[in-house]
Amino acid sequence: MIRRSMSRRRYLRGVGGALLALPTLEFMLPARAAAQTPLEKKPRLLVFYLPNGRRPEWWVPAATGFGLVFPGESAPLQPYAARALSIVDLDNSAARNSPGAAHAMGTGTVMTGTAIPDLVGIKNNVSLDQRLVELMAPSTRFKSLQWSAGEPGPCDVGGASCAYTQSISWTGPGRPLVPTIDPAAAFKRVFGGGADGLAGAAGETRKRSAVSVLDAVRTDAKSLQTIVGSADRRTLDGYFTALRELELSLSSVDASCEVPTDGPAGGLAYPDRVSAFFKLIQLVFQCDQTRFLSFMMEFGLSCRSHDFLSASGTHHGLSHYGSDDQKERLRKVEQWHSLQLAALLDLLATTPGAAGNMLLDETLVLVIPSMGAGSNHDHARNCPLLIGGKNFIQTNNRQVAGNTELANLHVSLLHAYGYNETFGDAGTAPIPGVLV
Amino acid sequence: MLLFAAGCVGQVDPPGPSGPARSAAALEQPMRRLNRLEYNNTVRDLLGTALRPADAFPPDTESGGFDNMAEALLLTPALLDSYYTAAREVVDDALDDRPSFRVARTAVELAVPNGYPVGNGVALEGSAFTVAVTSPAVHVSMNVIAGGDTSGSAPAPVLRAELDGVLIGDIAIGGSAANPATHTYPLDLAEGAHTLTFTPANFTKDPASNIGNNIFVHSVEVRSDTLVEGPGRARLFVCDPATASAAADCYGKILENFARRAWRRPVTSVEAEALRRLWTTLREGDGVAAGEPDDQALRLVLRTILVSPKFLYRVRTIRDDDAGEWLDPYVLASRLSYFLWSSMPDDRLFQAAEDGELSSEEGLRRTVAWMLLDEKSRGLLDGFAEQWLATRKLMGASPSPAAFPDFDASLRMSMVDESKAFFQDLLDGNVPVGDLLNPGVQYLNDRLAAHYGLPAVGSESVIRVDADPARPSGILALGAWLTSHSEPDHSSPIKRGRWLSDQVLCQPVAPPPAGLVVGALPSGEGLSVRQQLELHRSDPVCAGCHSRLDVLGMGLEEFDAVGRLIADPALDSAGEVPMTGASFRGAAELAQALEPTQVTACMASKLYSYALGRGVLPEERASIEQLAATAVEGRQTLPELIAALVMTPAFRAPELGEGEP
Repeated sequence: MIRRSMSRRRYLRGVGGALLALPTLEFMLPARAAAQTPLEKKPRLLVFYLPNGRRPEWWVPAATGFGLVFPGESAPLQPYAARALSIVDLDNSAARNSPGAAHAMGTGTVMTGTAIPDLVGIKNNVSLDQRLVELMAPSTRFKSLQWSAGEPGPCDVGGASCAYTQSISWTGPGRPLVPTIDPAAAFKRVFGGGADGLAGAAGETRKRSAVSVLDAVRTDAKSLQTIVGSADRRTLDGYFTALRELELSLSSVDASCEVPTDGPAGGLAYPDRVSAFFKLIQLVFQCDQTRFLSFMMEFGLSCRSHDFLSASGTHHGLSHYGSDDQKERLRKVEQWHSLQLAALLDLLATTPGAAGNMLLDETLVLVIPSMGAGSNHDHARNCPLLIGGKNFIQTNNRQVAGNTELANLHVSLLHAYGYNETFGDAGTAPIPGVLV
Repeated sequence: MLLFAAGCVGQVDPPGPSGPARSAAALEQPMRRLNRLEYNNTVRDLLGTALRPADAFPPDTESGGFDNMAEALLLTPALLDSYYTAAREVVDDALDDRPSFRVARTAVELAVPNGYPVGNGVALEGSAFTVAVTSPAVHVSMNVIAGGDTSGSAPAPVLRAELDGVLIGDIAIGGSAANPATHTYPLDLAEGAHTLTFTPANFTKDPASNIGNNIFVHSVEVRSDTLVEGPGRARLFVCDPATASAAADCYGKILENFARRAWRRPVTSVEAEALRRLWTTLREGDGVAAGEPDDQALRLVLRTILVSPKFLYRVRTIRDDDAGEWLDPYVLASRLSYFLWSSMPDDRLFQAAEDGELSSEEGLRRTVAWMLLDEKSRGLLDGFAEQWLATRKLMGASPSPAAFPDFDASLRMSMVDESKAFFQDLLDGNVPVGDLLNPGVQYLNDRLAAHYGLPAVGSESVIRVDADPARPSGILALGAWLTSHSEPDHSSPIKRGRWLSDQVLCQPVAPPPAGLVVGALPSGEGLSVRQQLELHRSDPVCAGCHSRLDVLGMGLEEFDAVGRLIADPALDSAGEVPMTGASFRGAAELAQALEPTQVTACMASKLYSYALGRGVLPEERASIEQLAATAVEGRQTLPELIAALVMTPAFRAPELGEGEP
């Protein structure tokens, strides 16, 4: 594998261009080799989650004769109107039917559509992205990736497990995929390489050694499986699943993709982490390392104080504003979130993918808030956005009045990916106007 | 709604991963994964590494207030990948030779005035910076990893390096910002403190003419040329392969010994043989291609041991050597060490397991006593106290810079230290557990004393002083939880009420009912805190729980959002203890209004849950309350209470559900 050094200076420049004048984007990005596998027809799925709800008046575009018109707070998204599908007023009944720790239940169910019956232990069910992973069994190095720029914080009232606020991707009941929150660690996992940094013959030897090591680990773990209880055997099943994914990621580095040798630094401040993750999303998509990625801007119930926006006060507290001043600060936060989303879309829209496409053409971005307006925990009026994914669904300057179950959006996407099945507690049929 | 209200007024089962309805079979201890703190501490004690790789792992899921609950510690592919990488890093760090003396500063650690980050470096923009080095008398190499940038007719950048004011050299900076070069100078350092000063010697900046130069420093390192062996060598190399008659046998011994410590129990002959075989396989290759060198093969097998579930989890198996009322001594040794140290057993504890010391009440008590005196008992502060007393939450709290301009990192750390000193004092047995509410002492440094408006105590680090009557003492007046349970610019009776309910009274509030619709909050502008809360409670949906939380928290309104007492005679701080209806104003009166036995029992049940990695079962509650009552009456210390908890069958005896393979 050819490696070209890409400094973090260049690395950060790609996002926002805050530091220096922008170089031509292609220069700093890994080049795709001419001969590569033809792109799978279905786009990859990026789930982009926002905490503490979104107030519709700052978020939901108006459907006019000229197409979608975003409110001023989300104006940075206007360039993407032509490639967007806005769906309004979807009812996350699963969250409403869960014991009301609103943020834990909203976040925990928004991608699973499954009500949490009680707060004992960890419940839930498979999320849309992970159901698709199961069905499609992607052959990429990583079946899926989960990242978040958030930090662990309070996890909602009544003893709800933090798993509900910290994970939107679930492989099954009690099996949340907790996101990686450090961009340096995320980079190391994807681009760290399977040969411990060794090159040449030593590197080849090391790759073979890694196979022996993981074989030995598996044999050892299997011997354990015969002498533990049934609950522990299930725990070990999870271990074996993870081990298979580790083997896959070590054994098949995409030779057509040049990767940078140094990634983001550790210990970045929050806004820098957001930018760094965006750049990583761009890289892993360009190198086709995964086809399913979920990104949480922050964990549910985020209590970050956005002092850098002059919007102090916990985000959650502001979402329940009790004064105009607090509402104004909330507006700044939601505005900034729209700006960040647009920065990510800019990256995906300007980075070449396969066969003359840009990454955004081959990626469907599902932007999903934890709920509708946060002030009243409005699970019944969630307003997601779908952007990108050329000719896949009707992401073409349209708005669909949902007034139906949120899980029917998940059913719609399952259908779009070719799987006609129901989803969650209440997802029974696609929403009219979503599928092409 | 009636049901909901009833749920709030009555005793609520403490939330925990295991919940209220449990059968005897549920008492089985499930596999328990090491959490991040335990992982860091374990590799430290196993290998002698100072790396903390788990800091970059995905967060551990917290449940029931702690992040060491067995059922919440799941394994994701991302985490296993982290374990695999971390295993290599810690093994290499422990076994690689290292300089006998080394000081290194990355760009982030170099405080460069007016510098700005560019990639992994810092652009100097003409600014000088210094690096402080305290060394023995030693010959070192100074490595400056930096790149330069020149535009127009500006001169190539030069960085002047000085040691204690004496010129080392003018460094012509090679490389670029993206690909910095290493610039090396030999130095002889005398014993003592030194200052390295770096000054851009020919900084040029004329943007209008596009003429300029700049220096991008990635790191500065001072390292001795003499190397010493890594700290893991002595721990791991029970024999020397270079001098052993059969090197393979020696490597086998090293591996078996390491696996015993890493897996925290004796290794079976089958396991030992498998490890030896793996080493041989790795070393010999596949017959066609070459294998690994001996030392690398060893490191790879060590990595295998550290990625095994036998290392990553604490496991009960049917092979465990339980004896009647007594748990397998190695299982019990790990239970003790992860409870009291958040780490693996050390040699002395392994020896105690082997000697049968852990299979008698007297032996177990002796063991707990010396373990608590060991400095590794710091783990109980880092694991238990940080979470119970909310100092971790304080690290992430954001008091408003506008409202509290003097709330800085030093004050934050002083508050963390205050709470930890409070717990350490309990752990040292200086304060009986029954005096949690009113120990009569405070834990202050000058920074915190000034913040609280108390006289200076003459110490930069937090020390124990007699309580100043101007401020209440004890758990209710600790700055960390008061501040972390506030809004950024004002106190929050709701959050404080909830913390008191959860952490001091162990009467957590039930979750709101399913289907709860929260209306838009009415504007609170122009209303007092109490009026706002009452407005909130005027909605009967909210009243059920908030009537408990709010009145409790209101009583501590005497503390502002950063834990200072408010001197306002008109302050409304009338509170009420929900269970008893006792009214109080302020922390001192609340301390009087609460039953020491209840508060001690609450702390005991937190410790019990933390020790076992699961919630307290309803049928266990009475016995914990009994332990607490005994402790309060007998004026017992925390070590005595901990010993009593260790002695409970749930901790030290085999599970009731034994028998299922």
